[in-house]
Amino acid sequence: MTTTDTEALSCQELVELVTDYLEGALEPADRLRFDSHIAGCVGCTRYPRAVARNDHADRNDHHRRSVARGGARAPLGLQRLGEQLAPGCPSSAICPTSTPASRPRANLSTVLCTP
Amino acid sequence: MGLRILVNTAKTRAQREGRVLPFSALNSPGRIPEAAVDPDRFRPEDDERYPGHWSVPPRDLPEERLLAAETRQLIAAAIDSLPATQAAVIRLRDVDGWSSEEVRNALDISEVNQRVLLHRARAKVRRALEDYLAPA
Repeated sequence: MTTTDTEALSCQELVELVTDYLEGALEPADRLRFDSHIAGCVGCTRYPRAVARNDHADRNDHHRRSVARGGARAPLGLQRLGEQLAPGCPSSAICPTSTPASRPRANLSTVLCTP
Repeated sequence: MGLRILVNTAKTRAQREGRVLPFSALNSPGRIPEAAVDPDRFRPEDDERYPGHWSVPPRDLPEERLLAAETRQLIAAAIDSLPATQAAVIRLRDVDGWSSEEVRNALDISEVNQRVLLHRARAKVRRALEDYLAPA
C-alpha cells in the first residue's frame, strides 16, 4: 500500500500499514514515515505486531523443512510493535540506542500523541 | 478443511475477503471498511491538535498471561471464527511459521492478497486478545 502525502502518519493510518511494514512492502518514503512515527509514540509501540506463539508442539513437517533450509522466518511471537524496532529495549517510546543517526527525529505531534 | 479443498476456494474467496483498499481510503481513515482498529479509539479527523491519534491507546498485555494455555485457546478460537481464507493465511504464517511466499504458492493467491488477508486476520485476533487480556 502506498500513501500519497508526505505528512506525518497518524496512529489511525499507522495501524493500517503495520502489516505492509512488517512484510517489507512499504515504499521507502512511507517506511520512513512509519519509523519516525513509531519512534515517538508509546501507543503505537504497544500495538502487537503478530498474534501467535511459537511453542506449539504441532509444528508440521513443512515448517521444519522451511526452518532447516533457512527459507522461512521463525513463527512470530506476540510482541509489541516497538520491540520489532528496538529489540531488547524496554517498550518505552524513545529508545536512543535503536535510532539510527539518519532517522529523522519524530515530530512533536507523534511524541505527544499518547495521553 | 483440507488444504486441497482450501486451495480450490482460496482464489475466489481471497478476491472477496482481501479486497485492496484504494489509496484514497487512507486520507479518510474513519471510513476504512474493516478497519484494523475501532475508529472510536482515535481522535476525530477534525481534532484540533492530534487528528487520528489514539484517544484510547492499545492496552499493555500482561506478558505472563500471553504464555498461558488459555490464551492459546483464545487465539485458536479467534482464528477459527475468521473467514476461511483469512484463517488459513494467519494459521500458516503465524502458527506454522510459513513464509509469505510459501503461503502464496500453497493458496495460489497474489502477494497483495496474502498481505491483506494477513492484515485483516491479525487485526481481528489482536482485538480478541486485547478484549480478553486487558478489558477496557
